[in-house]
Amino acid sequence: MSENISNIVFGHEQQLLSQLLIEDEFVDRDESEWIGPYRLIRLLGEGGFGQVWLAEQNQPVRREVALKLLKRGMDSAQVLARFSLERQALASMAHSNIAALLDAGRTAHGRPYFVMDYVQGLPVTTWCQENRSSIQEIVGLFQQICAGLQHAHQKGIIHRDLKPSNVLVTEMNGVATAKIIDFGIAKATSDEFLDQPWVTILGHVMGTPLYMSPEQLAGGLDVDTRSDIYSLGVLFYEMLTGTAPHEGKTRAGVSHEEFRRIVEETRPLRPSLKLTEIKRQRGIVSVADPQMRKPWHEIPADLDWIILKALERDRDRRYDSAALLAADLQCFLNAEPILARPPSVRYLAGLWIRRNRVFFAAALICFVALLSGTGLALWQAQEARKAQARAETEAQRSSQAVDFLTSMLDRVAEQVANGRNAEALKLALDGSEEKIRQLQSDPLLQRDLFDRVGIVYKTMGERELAMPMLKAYIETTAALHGPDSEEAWNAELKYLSHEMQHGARLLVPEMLEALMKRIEAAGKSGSFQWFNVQRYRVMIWDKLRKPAKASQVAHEVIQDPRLESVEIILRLLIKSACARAFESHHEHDLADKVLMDCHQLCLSDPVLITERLPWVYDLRLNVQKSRGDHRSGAELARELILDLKIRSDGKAPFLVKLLLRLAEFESALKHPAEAIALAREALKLAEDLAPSPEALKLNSKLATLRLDQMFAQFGVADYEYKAGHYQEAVNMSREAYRMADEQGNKSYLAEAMLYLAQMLEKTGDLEGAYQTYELRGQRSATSGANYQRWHEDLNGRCAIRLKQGRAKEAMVLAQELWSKEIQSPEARKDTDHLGDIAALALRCHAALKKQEPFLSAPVELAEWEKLRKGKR
Amino acid sequence: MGGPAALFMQSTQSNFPLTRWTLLLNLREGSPEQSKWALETLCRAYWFPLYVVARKRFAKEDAEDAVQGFFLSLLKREALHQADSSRGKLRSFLLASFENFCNQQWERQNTLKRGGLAEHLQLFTDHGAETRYIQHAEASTEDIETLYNREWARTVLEASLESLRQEYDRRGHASRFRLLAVHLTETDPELGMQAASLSAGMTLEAYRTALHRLRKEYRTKIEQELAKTLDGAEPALIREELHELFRVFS
Repeated sequence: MSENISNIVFGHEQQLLSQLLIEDEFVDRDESEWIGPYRLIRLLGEGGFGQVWLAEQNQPVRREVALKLLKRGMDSAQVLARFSLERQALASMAHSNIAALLDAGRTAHGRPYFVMDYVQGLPVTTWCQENRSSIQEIVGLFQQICAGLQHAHQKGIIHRDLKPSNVLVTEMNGVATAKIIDFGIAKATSDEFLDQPWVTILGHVMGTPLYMSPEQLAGGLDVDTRSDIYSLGVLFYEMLTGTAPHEGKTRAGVSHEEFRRIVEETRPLRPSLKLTEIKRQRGIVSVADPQMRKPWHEIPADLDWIILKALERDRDRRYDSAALLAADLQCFLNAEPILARPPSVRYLAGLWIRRNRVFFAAALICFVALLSGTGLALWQAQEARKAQARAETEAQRSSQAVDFLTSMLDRVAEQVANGRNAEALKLALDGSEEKIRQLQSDPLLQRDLFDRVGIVYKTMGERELAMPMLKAYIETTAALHGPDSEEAWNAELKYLSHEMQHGARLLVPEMLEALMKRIEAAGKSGSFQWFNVQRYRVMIWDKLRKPAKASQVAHEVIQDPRLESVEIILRLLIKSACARAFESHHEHDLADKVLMDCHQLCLSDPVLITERLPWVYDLRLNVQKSRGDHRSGAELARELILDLKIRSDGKAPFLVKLLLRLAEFESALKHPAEAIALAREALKLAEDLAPSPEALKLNSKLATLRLDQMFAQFGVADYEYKAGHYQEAVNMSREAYRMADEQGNKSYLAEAMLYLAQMLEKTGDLEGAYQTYELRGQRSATSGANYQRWHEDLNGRCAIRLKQGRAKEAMVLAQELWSKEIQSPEARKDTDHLGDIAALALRCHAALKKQEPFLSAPVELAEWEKLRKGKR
Repeated sequence: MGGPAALFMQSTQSNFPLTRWTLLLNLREGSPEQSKWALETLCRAYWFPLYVVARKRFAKEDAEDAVQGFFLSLLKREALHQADSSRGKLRSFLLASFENFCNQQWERQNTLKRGGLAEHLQLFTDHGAETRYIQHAEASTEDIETLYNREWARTVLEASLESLRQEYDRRGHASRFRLLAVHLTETDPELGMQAASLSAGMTLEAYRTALHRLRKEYRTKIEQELAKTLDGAEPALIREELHELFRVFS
């Protein structure tokens, strides 16, 4: 038993002690039954302030009241004095949504007490849960609460302690009525606790921090009616989602200071998103699910904005009065435009920049470090800080540079992870070209900055913005080292490589040839740079889908005798580029030969063996695949797998890919069981090799192993699907999703969700697929994803609705998709792509017309038809 | 078996509140029996907290020996004269005294190691101390005084609760105690009350009252414990002590 005693005590010492500090003041039931004209019936509850009793009043009228008896030790004279200031106002309050304060006084022992209307009801949050109230009902209740609060505010009374236990719902004449209790008491008694740290009363809730406005938490500031509005926001949030905005963060151990900081600095998650997350976490899929406590699936966006406006940290941005809040709620109910709007991007970005000056160089260095092809990936506070330190030393170079850097950004981490980061960063980088140009005294730094900003833009997907940076980079390099220096050539090549991948490819071959000629003119034909240019020449024709031309250049290069004296790595890269060119030109045997050459090359260098050999394997398998020779492909794959297994003792990560390749071949050879088995083997291997989170922190390159795992899961799912094992396929897809979610990598998550959606669709679970797309869309929105994702999601959803015969909804989605595409400059250029969308929209229109022949045509119809005609 | 709690309460058999003075008086001027009893009382209350202090300096065996040695040294009258004249709380005095002891005597003498006087007196030893130490204090980076005060506070809380449990047991309400005791640490007192009252076979109202009473009794027990370290048992002193202990856990 004493172990139990220890357990009861350990970790709860504060609670025990605080109870004892408070406890002894309480009236022993047997002692006195009467307090003034009120007879105590029974204890209703206790808290940090004292007790609440149910009491009976006989004079002047017989009724039940609630009597709040404050603890001994409170300076009753002071309390009552403070109270009496408001008493007039309190007494004059008469509103159906406020529990009236009837009386106040002192007991024989000198303890203050207050007498209020006895409200028999449940805390509003509990009531909503138990009654499974609809959104309309909840909003109705909320309007009542606003009405009551407005009444009090007009009398100059601030509640200061609004929370669920202070807002009770009772049924009066069959109508659910909300009543706010405990007005004025918080103010009267608040100073009592001023010199004790509020945490003293943590167990006995006095102003639980969850519902306190930022200014209340900060203390000292004049708290006005808008503080109550904030608390209302928290309340409403909880009524809708079941949890308060910053709820997870108030575990014991979080100090007042920390919590205050959290409230000040993080924006709460939109209620609709919070709800979705909760559902997802619990694996809730349908409204009928017993775990689903709310009878609705989602929270309308307008409601989101209303709540968030009430929850603004800056009180000037909140609703000025409860009446305005109620009015907006009415607008929402009437489906009219509301006052609260999503904060505009510029506004948010401006705020963010104003508040946080992220160390610019830190941001850039961070980006470069995190460039792992996973897009705007994780900003980690510690990385940023390390980078900041590095940046500071680098920035010592010149004070101009320092000024420039410090005038930019500051702490990145949480801010960026909270949404709108891409926009904010973009705005912060805006005008950086000029600023960098001003750093004339330090051209090296200039060049460096141009380079890095260019990379930043690239990583953000802002290819157009990257271009001027790259150009500037070339200019400065040329200026520094001379236009015909190796550095200048390298810079130009870098630029051209960028262009090749993202930009105006058509011009690249010309420019490459020009560069080539310049190098030759400098007498450097056959040099490293020259050969590098050759490599790009082969690659650009490949990218431009001109296999004949690519092959032609490749032939030239391959036959050049000087090739054999080029550095091994470059030689390897060139030969493989040529092989690819040959392959796309259907010269399979030649491609194979060249690749076997590459294979030999790799074997001659120990570094290459580990780094490049697997990649060469992959290329060779590709050749077999494109030949359509699955049998040889499978054989080759087996050979290579065996080889790699021996070399690496079965532990090379690349084995995962190879196994998946083999599975592909087996599947093509119509051996479904083999394919599944191989994919599962790959998956198991990927799981075994998967790095721990710690390892990942040290070496983010290992992140690709996670990606492999995901692809292996996709592989298994695919083959199961092909074999007709639909449930397996779906399960595996869900597993991939779950894993990606666990790891918190946003682009993997997006991949996994897309895959899951597609698999669900294929196996006939249309509604499931729809929801997955939707969820994906919402999550992308919060992480500021590029256009491709929302396109996929909207497209997916539209197609599904169409399949389900819900043409009207499909139409709406198609229109949304269209309008978004039109707004995106990249999309606008791609007429093929737009044509596809137009086709989809037209299909929706056709289906809708069948269902509702008299519906008027959408405005975009003409454009869509034009595009479709254009396609033909 | 069991921590200091179980062992501790055995010492609190008397009906009037002991103060530090009583203890010290007994220790210094009582009969050998009274003296021994007083020493045992002190031991049980302070053994573990002092062990934690010692353990932060020494390894396990040495720490044990240090604490033993210290208590034995208390038998010498001189030490107690100092206690008498020093103002402030007994527990603070003991801590300071112990640290002094460790600095001076221990390093020089290394006497009182296993055997010697210890056998004579069969002094109380807390066998579960090391485990508790590891759980509570080993990883902590707090200063010695805080650790000491915390452990001492815990001992008080536990011992009082244990004493209370035994009383309930004597009254035949052992199971009720088990139910009620859990509520002592609830931050939301209403939570689970309904269910608990049903388990106890009581109405909600009656249950509440019973809990109320439990708390009162607990508090009384604690007051008694605290008095042993204080000058007296006045409410103001007790309150202040509780406040201070509360702060120790912040």
